[in-house]
Amino acid sequence: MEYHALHDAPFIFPNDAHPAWSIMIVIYPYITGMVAGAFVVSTMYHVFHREALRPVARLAVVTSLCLGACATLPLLLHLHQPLRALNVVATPSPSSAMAGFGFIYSFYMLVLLVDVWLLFRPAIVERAHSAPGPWKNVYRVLALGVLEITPRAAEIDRKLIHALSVIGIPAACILHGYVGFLFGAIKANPWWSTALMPVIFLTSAVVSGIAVLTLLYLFLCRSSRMEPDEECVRSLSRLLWMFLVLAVTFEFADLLHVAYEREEEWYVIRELLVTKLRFSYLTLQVLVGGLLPLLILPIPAFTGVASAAFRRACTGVAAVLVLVQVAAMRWNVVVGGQLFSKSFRGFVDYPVTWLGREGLLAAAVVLAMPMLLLWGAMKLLPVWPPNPESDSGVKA
Amino acid sequence: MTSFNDTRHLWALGAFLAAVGLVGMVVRRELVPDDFGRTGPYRASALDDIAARPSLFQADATCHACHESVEHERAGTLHEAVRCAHCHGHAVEHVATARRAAEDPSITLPPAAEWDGDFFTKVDLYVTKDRATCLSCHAAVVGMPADFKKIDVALHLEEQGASEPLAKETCFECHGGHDTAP
Repeated sequence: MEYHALHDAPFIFPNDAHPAWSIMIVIYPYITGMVAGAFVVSTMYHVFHREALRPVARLAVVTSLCLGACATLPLLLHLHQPLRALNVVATPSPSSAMAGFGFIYSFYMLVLLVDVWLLFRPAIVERAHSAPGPWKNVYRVLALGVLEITPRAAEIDRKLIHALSVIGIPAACILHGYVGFLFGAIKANPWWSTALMPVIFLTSAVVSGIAVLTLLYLFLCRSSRMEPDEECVRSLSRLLWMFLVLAVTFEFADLLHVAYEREEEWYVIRELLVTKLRFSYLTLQVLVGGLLPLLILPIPAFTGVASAAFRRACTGVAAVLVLVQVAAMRWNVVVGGQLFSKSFRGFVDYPVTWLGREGLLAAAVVLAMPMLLLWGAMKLLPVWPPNPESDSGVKA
Repeated sequence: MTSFNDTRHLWALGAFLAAVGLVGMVVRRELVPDDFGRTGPYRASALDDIAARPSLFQADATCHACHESVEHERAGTLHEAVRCAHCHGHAVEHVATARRAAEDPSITLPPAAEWDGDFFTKVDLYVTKDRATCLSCHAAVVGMPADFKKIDVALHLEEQGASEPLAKETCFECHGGHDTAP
């Protein structure tokens, strides 16, 4: 098949005429990725003892939980009849990839929930004693009625947090690797069907998690007039740069592979990239979101040039760009993969709408939900690390 | 030495998770039908429910039982392979009324309606000479078998000198519906 055939004789199979997966399916891996990425940052402190990340270790794990609580929301909106979601949980088919996600997601959320509970138990117990009025009862319920922490209990909790963090690393990797697998295993679509897809999704997930955490940290410090920890920001910048290098490398490796092999699908993918996805792929994903942060991040990550405020600004700008890159990548995969026919001879459009259940407005609300939850969680739990001298034995 | 006091919170957590699991199991038990999974990953009695639904599709033989002339018109033409329902609707009510009319001469059959232009129409029985119906099969698209009668409609009408190329019924200037000649 030749490239010009795309224009001279377009042919769309009837089942290709309308992209079935909407912007909600773009957001679903976006949020899930941040869940896994934020958790990875917390494990850098709790498992790998990167002391520089202590200021964001608790924030990371709570952010991950809040994002995780909203991860399935876009799927529920996309289902149109949300009660159908119960079928995949109540009667999972062993041959269903999505049913597998249900188990992995449930297991990861359980690990995360227990991890958060143990991590914040000292604070919960302390507030169950000291909180005013009805809040005391809220904390009593959160403490499951156990209102004392013996030194031995604190030691056991510390070991359990370590163990759960260790278990959480592969769980988080599997969680988001599996989201990549859901796309990579669709053999009829050459833009998706690659064994690299889980790895591409995983690395971009870690990137987005670090980026969102970095932005949250900088924003929260600014809003509470706190000076961000310079070493922490530097460490986050390094992590972000390192994982961005990996993410961009894997994304290019996959594209290069398809381009070099030049099998029949390449002609439609090339056309897709230079026409339909020119802005979202070449401009946003490659240049603005990929190349630019790769150039900016070494400044705060590896140098001491200019002021700390300038380097922080560099980190913040790079984090925003990286979030744009990952969002563009999700868009290009999910929507881009549906814009060409399986005949490889024609394209369709994805109509972006503002209103409606799967419109941009609904997407913005879904993206805001985890942040609202986080705001609530921060009212309830202390996300900043306790002073070392008042440390109850559980590693902050 | 670890005492119960040191692990009391873990027992509480375990009990809480067990209670959640138990509630989940009870809910699942209520949600899943008894015959789910007996014959595969679905409710076994769904097969009987589906089989009990009235069939929408009529075999062409049902139509030909009354419309013998149409059967002869179509015999041996390329349109013999096209199902009656494609151009005339499912005709479920029409056939039911026709069967009742066969036993009760006082029942008269209402005439067929005009096609409303919707390929998902709810009209029970219709006739159509709208070229959209013809082009639903005969508009040339890539991937059709080489010997399939396909046309670029504008070019075809120009070549054949159609007197009213914009008219809906323009195909019928030269072609029949049942007998497609020429």
